[in-house]
Amino acid sequence: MTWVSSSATLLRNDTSELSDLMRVEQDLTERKLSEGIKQVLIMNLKSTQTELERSIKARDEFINICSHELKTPVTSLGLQFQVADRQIKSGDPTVYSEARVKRRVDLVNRQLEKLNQLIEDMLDISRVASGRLQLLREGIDPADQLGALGVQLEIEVQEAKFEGDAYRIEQVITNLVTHAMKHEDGKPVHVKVSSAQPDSVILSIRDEGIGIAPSRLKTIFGRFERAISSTNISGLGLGMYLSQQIVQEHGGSIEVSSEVSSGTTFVVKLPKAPAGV
Amino acid sequence: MSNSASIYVIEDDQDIRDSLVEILELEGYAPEGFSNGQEAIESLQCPKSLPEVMLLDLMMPVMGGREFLQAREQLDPSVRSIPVYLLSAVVPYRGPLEGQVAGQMRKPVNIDDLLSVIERHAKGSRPQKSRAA
Ligand SMILES: Nc1ncnc2c1ncn2[C@@H]1O[C@H](COP(=O)(O)OP(=O)(O)O)[C@@H](O)[C@H]1O
Repeated sequence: MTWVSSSATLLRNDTSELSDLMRVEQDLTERKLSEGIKQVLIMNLKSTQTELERSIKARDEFINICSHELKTPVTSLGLQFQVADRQIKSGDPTVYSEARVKRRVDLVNRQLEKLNQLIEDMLDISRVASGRLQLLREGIDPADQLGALGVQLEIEVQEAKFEGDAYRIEQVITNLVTHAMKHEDGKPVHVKVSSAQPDSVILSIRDEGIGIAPSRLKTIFGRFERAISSTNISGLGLGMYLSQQIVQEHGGSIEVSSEVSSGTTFVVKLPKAPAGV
Repeated sequence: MSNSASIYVIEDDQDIRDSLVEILELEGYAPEGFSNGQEAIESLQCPKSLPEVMLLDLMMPVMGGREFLQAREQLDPSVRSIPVYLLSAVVPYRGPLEGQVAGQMRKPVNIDDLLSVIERHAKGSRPQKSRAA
C-alpha cells in the first residue's frame, strides 16, 4: 500500500509536502479499491491534511513571534550603543559618568541574557524534534530545586529523591512554578512533593489564579501554542511543550487541570529510576 | 525646558522605552513613556497638553498598536491629527488603519532616522539646545 509509507514520511517531516498528500489522494482515486475503503482512506488523508495545514500555520506564527522576540533585545542593544555613540561624538561628558555607564552595562547584560534564553529555547526545540535531547542520569532532590525558587513548600514525604537530568528537571519545575506565580492573581501557590508510590515521585503545582479556558487547555502542551492571544506577547510558547517532552523522555507524565478564575494544577509524575535515561 | 515638544513613546518593553525616552530627553524634547495603548489613550482623553508626535509599537499587551489606532478614532479631532509613527519588528504594517499613520519604521531603530522624522513633525518647538553635531 503506497499510501501508508507516503503518509508516514509526511508525518515525519511534518512541515513539507502537502503536494505528496494530494498525489497519494489522486493515486487512491485512480485505483480500483472498493468504494467503502476508498472513502475511509480519503477521509483519513483529509484529516491528516487539515492537521498538517494547522501545524504549518502554527509554525509560521511561531517564526513570526520568534522574530519579534529576537528583535526586542536587539533593538534595545542597538539604541543603547547609538545613544552612547552620539554622546561621544558630541563631546557630552555625561556619557562617561559612572551612573550612566553602570546603567548601560546592566541593560546590555540583561538583553544578552534574554537573547541567550531565546536561542536556548529554539535549540531545545530542534533537539527535541530530532530526538537529540540527551539526558544525564544523576541524583535529584526536587526540594532543593524548589527551595532555590523561593516558593513555599508543602512536602508530604521527605525522601523524594529520584534520578534524572537535574538541569532538565529544573527547567520543568522553573517553568511550571514561574507560570503559577505569574498567573496567581495575588493568591498563594501550593507546591507539593510526594513519593507515596514506591517507584515514582509526584510534584504538584497548584495556583488559585486566573485559570485557563477549556479550549486553550487542550492545546497548552502543543509545540507553538500560547494560551493567550498573539497581541499579549509573553514568550515563545515553548515552555509547556518542552516541559512535557522532558518529562516524557524521563518516562514520566504531566497533566493539567484548570478552571477559569479558580486556578490551575499541574501534576508531574516521574519514575524514581527512569529506564533508558 | 517647559515649552519643548512633548512626545509619546508607547512601547511595552521597558528597556526600549527607557532608551527612547533617554535619547529624546538628550535631544531636548519632553518625552513621556507608556507601556501600552490603553495608558496612552487614557492620557489623551484628559491631556494637560497634547503631544506633537507619538511613537507607537504594534505588539503590546492590554492594548496593542492596531487597537490603539482604532481607539484613537473615537477621540477629539485635535488628537486624531497628531502624527503617529509606527515602530515595529514586523513593518510594513498593512491594514485598514494603515492610512492613519504618518510613517513606519522597522526595529532595530536607527536613531538618526528617528530623530529626523521627529524633527519634521515636531516642527519648531524643540529648544535650540543640545544639537552639537
Ligand atoms: N498556571 C497557569 N495559569 C494560567 N495560565 C497558564 C499557567 N501556566 C501556563 N499558562 C498559559 O500557558 C501558556 C503556554 O505556556 P508556555 O508554553 O510556557 O509558553 P509562553 O509562556 O512562552 O507563552 C502561557 O502563555 C500561559 O498563558
